[in-house]
Amino acid sequence: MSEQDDLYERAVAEYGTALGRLARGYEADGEKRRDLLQEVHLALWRSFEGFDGRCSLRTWVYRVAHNVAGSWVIREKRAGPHMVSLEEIDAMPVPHDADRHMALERLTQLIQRLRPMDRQVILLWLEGMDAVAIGELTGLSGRNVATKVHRIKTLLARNFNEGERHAE
Amino acid sequence: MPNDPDLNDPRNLWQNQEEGRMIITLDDVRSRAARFERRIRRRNLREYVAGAIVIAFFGASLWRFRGWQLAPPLLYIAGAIYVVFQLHRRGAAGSLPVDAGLRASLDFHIRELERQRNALQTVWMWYLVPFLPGFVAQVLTLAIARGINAGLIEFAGIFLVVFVGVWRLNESAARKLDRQIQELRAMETDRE
Repeated sequence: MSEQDDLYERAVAEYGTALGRLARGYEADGEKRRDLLQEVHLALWRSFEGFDGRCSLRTWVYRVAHNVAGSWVIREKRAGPHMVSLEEIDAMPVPHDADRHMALERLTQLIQRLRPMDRQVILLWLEGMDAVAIGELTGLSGRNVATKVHRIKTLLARNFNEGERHAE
Repeated sequence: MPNDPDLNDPRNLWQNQEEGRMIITLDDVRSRAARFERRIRRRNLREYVAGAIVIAFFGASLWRFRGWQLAPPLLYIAGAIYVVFQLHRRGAAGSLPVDAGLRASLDFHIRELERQRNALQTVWMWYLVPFLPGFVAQVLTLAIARGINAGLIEFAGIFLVVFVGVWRLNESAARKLDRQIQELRAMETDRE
């Protein structure tokens, strides 16, 4: 097995599930989602030809995956619904869901309505990354990341945290 | 009020979703890579064939003309050769840049949008303009041979409307991309 194949296999073993979730965040249609995921895997495999360890495997995988998925959204957006920013989506009405499946559906729909950069920030935050890692991956300024993460937390609290919703 | 604690923790909800995992093997990836290469080769072949048809069409008409009347078909042929050469030189568009893993997303998307904008701004220069000399020569040749009539004006009018229309559409799409680029550039700084 070549080094390229070996790196690819390692990346899939460590981040394969996260890549599936990423595809879910970027594409609503099941068939197209599979296409997007295959495109991400292909780009990843190809990219490992030039991997020289200048950054961690995680950073490399997320950069390639989000860059491919972001380009996919830009390419497909004419056929999709109108995308909004974090500020705009925060002003939209919040439906009430009582079960886990519905809540996940609503979270996914919320993510899929966001513009690519906002979508990337929320997906990275949901994957458990901190502001520094998000800044490194996205290239956004520290202040921009902080503002966006704050908005994401408020938005998700309003949508998913009953206590905070009633407190508003 | 939901009883499931995950409903109050979107990170947990997201990371523990029971989405059926799509298995993609190395063989799947290799076969997709091969399909991608085949698609690019077929697209390039289609473009070369289209160029060859244009060249053959005007080439076949050369024997009917003499002297200055040869100018329009020769100029159209030269234009088609130039366009095919440009298509060949510009290569396989659509493949991912090799440095996708080194570039942060913002920089990556700005560069991709700039590439698309520049392509829109210049495509008419190498895709339409090369046929302009042939068109002008043809209009002049027809005007000299048959005089200026309604048919000639209609022919010239349609060509010019299409030419200007394509140019204006590209310019408008390029301006739209430019606005997106400016929005992304603002995110690189601390302006919000």
